[in-house]
Amino acid sequence: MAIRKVLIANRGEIAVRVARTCREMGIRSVAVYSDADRAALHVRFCDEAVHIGPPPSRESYLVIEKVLAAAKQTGADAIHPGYGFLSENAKFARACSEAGVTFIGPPPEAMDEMGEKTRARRRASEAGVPVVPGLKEPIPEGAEEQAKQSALEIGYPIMIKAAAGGGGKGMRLVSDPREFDSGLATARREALSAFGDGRVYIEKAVSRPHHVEIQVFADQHGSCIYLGERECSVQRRHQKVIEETPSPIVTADLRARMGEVAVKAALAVKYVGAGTCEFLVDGNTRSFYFLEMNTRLQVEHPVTEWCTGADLVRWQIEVAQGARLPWTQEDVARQVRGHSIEARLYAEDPARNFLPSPGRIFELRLAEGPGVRNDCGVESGSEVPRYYDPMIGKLAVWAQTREQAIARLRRALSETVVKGITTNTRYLRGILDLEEFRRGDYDTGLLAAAAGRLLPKKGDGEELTPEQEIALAAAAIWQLEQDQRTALQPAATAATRDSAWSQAGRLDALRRNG
Amino acid sequence: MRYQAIIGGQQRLVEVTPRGSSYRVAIHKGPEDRGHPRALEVDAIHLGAHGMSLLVDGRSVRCDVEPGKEGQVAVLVGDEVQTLEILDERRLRLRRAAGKFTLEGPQRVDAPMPGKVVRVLVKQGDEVQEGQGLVVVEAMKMENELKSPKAGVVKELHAQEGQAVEAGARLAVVA
Repeated sequence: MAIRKVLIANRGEIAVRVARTCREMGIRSVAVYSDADRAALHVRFCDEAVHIGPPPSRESYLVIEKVLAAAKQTGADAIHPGYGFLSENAKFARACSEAGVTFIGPPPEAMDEMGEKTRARRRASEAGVPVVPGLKEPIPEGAEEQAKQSALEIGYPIMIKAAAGGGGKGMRLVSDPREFDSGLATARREALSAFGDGRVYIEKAVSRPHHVEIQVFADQHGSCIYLGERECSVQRRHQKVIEETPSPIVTADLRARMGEVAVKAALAVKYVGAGTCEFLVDGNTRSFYFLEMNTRLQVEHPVTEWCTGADLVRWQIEVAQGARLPWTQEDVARQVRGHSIEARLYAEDPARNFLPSPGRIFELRLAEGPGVRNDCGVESGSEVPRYYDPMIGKLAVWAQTREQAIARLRRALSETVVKGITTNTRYLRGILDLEEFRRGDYDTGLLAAAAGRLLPKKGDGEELTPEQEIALAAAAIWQLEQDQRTALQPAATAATRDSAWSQAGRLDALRRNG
Repeated sequence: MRYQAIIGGQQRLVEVTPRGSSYRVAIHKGPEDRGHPRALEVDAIHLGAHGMSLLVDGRSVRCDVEPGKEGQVAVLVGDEVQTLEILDERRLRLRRAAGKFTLEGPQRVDAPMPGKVVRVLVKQGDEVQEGQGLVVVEAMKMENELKSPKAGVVKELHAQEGQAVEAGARLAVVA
């Protein structure tokens, strides 16, 4: 059945991303927004928009009734959940189907099986897929002491993870039994705040691991293919920062083996739509362990789109309409080419321990040129609210080789200017310059190990950096010109510096035009 | 024209001399004219209200000069913001008279960004060490522990759990 109007139950860059494909497909789009997002970009990218409540996501974007009421009110026949928020909530998928609205995602039964990490791991384990040692169930309230005991048996360091989670939220590394209680409390609190579900579980933290994930796609007719892997080991506190495909450590043979396992896992739960199987890969032995399946579109899907040429959102919508997959596994092999890398732009200050930096962006300049793609949820004048994720956009590039892709991303980052808030662009360039990254020889410990080399140099002391010299020269020239104008126009002395500066600009323009 | 600039924690004398359509900028190592300054030939034109295009010894650089308060200037060079202060001698004297900011005496702990106070880790009157956590503020789903800038006693405590705070809001004072 044809989808004519899609409600996008999300915000920020992913809502914009989905709205773009809707427009290309001639499908009307409906935005939802909280009080904090009335002026947000995604509202303007959609054909219609519905207000769904106050800023905290638990009172707006996470409220199933409000989202469904918005769909009913606008006559939307389908809902795209994006990632995060309600995207992996089986209850929401069921509520959609009960309301007669197509949920663009897997069937709720598949989400039940795979959406929760503990069940997914049990399921995978039953199917003979190797998994990382750990407790298979969330820690029940009141059973903290038993869990602490189990953690000792599994062996430290351990990881405490949100059962409903993903994206590194509600996830804590605990390396010492004495930190167990506080780590558990923090993980639960963050899980509750991010997903409305405070349940967490424990697993052993694996040393020198790579985080490699396989993109799978299934239709309603029992076909399932994999669209290659994404290397996501560049993480800070388990939050992905840079992703690339192909992975520097994945050979054709390993890709085929992982891909087949991922497809098997998807078929086992009668999966439909876009899904991602996450694996931990041992950097030395190349053994891989199933971690979880994300039953949604991933943040980093653009690198897969770059290298396959497929529009995954279009595929999602077509599959939801009942269409067959456009490609076989052999077609994928024929289509895939080149190398793609994505960098996530975060509103945070690496120099101040990655302190979030919400606020107004008064100017945004995005990179252009060959092989560059921006997925941005903001523009000049946008307010980055303090209530949501600090990721404001993604910059993804494609080039024929990995080396060229790194050079291209570096070039594109140097064109990216965000004024008004602090972002991590400089930090990202620092990562691209790391010897380990350039060699493709890195694991999930990269950013922690390189932290000392990645922190911006203060430029204190005798020698100024070339940028500091230029800044000083620009400021001195600007000051001199302003002082000269002030001297020529005594009446203007009371004016503020800023307006004097604008005045200077006007004088200059007059002079140029005259 | 002679200016005093503070950049990277150091005060430097900067001399700017117009030369035809461009400028000679001499950056000294310290606040006085001693030794050989770093000399730059700079051709500068304005682009819009804040933008400048500089040719610095032939290198083409786009800058944006954003003036702040009391001589503070944020200059965007390429894609990086450099912050500095630039003052002529009169402004410098005024600033000196206002007293210098040091870690002696009471220190304010302010909210560095808008957010919500999720935990208060100390009580008024508590003795605290330098770097000890005082208040946890949540913004953008991340918890951020604000630490004491010095060893001392919590003199004032304004933060309350659950309270929404704006950037710059005073949370505590350590003396």
